[in-house]
Amino acid sequence: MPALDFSAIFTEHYRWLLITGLAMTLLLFVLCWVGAMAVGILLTIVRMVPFRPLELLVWAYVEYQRNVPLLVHLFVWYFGIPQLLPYSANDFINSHNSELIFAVIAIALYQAAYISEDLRSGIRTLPKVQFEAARAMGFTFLGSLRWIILPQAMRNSLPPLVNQTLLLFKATSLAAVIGVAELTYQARLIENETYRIFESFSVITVAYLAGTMPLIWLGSRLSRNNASRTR
Amino acid sequence: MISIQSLNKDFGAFRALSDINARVEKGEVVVLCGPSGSGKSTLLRTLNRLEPITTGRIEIAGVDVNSRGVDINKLRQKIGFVFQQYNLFPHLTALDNIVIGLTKILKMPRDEATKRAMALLERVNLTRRASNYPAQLSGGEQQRVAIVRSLAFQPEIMLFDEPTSALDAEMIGEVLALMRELAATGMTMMCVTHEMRFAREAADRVWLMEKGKIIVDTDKAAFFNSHPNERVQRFLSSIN
Amino acid sequence: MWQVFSENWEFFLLGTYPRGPIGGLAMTLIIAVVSLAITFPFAIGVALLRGSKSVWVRRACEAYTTLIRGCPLLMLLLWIYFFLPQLLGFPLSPFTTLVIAIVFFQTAYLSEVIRGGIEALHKGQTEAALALGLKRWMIIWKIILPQALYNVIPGILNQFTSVIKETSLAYVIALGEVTYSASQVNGILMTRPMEVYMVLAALYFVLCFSLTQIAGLLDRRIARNRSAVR
Repeated sequence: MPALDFSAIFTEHYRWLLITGLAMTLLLFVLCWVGAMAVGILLTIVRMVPFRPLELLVWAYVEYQRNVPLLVHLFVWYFGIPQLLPYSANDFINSHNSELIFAVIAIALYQAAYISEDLRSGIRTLPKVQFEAARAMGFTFLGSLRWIILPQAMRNSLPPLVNQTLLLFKATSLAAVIGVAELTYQARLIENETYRIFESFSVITVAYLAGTMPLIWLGSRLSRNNASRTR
Repeated sequence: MISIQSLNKDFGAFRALSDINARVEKGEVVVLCGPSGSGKSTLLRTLNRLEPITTGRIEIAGVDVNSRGVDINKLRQKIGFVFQQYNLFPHLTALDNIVIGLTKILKMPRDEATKRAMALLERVNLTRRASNYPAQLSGGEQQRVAIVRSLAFQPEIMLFDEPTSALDAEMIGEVLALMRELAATGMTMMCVTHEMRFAREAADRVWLMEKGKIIVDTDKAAFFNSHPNERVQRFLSSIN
Repeated sequence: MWQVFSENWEFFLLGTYPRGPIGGLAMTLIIAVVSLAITFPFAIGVALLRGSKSVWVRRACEAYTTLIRGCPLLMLLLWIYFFLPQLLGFPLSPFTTLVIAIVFFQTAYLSEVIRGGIEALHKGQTEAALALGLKRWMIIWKIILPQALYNVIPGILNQFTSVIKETSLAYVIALGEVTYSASQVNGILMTRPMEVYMVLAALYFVLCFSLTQIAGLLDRRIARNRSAVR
């Protein structure tokens, strides 16, 4: 093993690669998180509509997402979907960082399935009468969800949602496989050019841990709090 | 004010309400009593359509509750409903439990809603509890907040579903006092309860239910007179 | 989609076997089973050590699980793929590399599952055994572990599903399991990526969905048995 030399990977060029990689990881994370939350909440609401075919549809979606590896979802989107799109759409996507677009869609849809499951179990722990009380006051179906049920479900689901956020942050690393130039991708690039394996991987390891450790800490704190609040 | 015609309600093969015909006039206070499982709560819950009905017709202020065209949410704002388990929203303070309906349903500006909510809390001596969460309130306090939460909509009818049966004995009084006061203002009220004290003091009429039917529908004096009918007597002795 | 599968099913399921090395879904299962089999004793060890009397042992185990939970599996895999041979001084096959990565990763998660099973047991179990005069390790081995493991069988099955999904990372290090096989089929057909990858998704789905359904079934049965005992 050669002597450690971090300066070799901190030249101006590589520093720039790492910074853009970090920025890309954060961008991926934010876009995926917003997308996953939005779709997850939507799925949860659709699931509460007492109409059997809709319920089945959401169930099938969730099961499909959860029982197929994220990497395969990424392949289906990145390699498969362009086959179905017209030329003009592919042109547009290819000129707008298609890797990023498909990675965001695939990761967000994947994580949304898990989020909707967590929200659903958060709702299931609420007594049904909360919903009745809201309806009896004159809230509409959606109004009851929006103002009464979801805020409580969110609070119940906060620890699992923090955990999903953690998993989502880690999952962004898979985007490297379809060529999104985020942290993991850049580290491999640098490692490939400099042969500084330890140095380049150390840097991204520190970067990932800096993101995940606070989330782990927050998650365990919240679940402790929730445990002490239930009487 | 309330008119019920040939009402039937089935849960699967079980007939929960059977051929109910009754009227409640404006300003009347009706107490519903009867053994458990007799259909009192179910009847009350059909009035604001928390329970859909099987056949029959319910009119409230001339509106057919179960007709397709009716805006049930509008109608429910005119009908206050108080639950046995209070059902305050645990993620909101006492004040916000009242405010949220005013701002989100009636679209009232927040400061006006807060003013109205504070006035209501003051009426039940709970101003100091305004910023407490339901979990920090006693059962009696929660139920009083729940009652004024309904009153905030200035309803024309108040329905009470066993409002005191989840309360400890020492808290029942404060809730009944509020209900008596409300009755005295001329509010149209229907109340499912076992509190015969309340019936004696505040009711105009008493309905006695058994097996999904109203078997006695009479004014208070007749219900509590010294020579009651045999079924009333059986019921009264069963709860004492 | 069906055509893609019917024309290449042997490659999807077995790789080039028996003419060449085994691959495809069979390889996926082999990696998953081998990884889980090696993970299992480690996970039990970590789960037990987290209840150790020594603060330092407990802390070390906790630090390990926390650290692993904070790392993406892909990163762990790259560390092992590129750095471990350098450290050891001899090369590792892609198979060994992936198995090591998954064992490292899953030991953390599976030990949490097992620990959950241990903590869910009534304290009275230990006390009753102590009152009988059993030694501490005997209690753990004969009383606590059998019950805890029985109760977390569904959890272990779910973890097995996770492992199967994780083996798809083999693609990154060019190890010929089903995801890699699919990419090879795609490379040959060129024009039908959607069908190829939907076949791949369907294969994973059938496998993992059956496993999670079985886990759910067992979970209900075990819950029923437990409530019947009480």
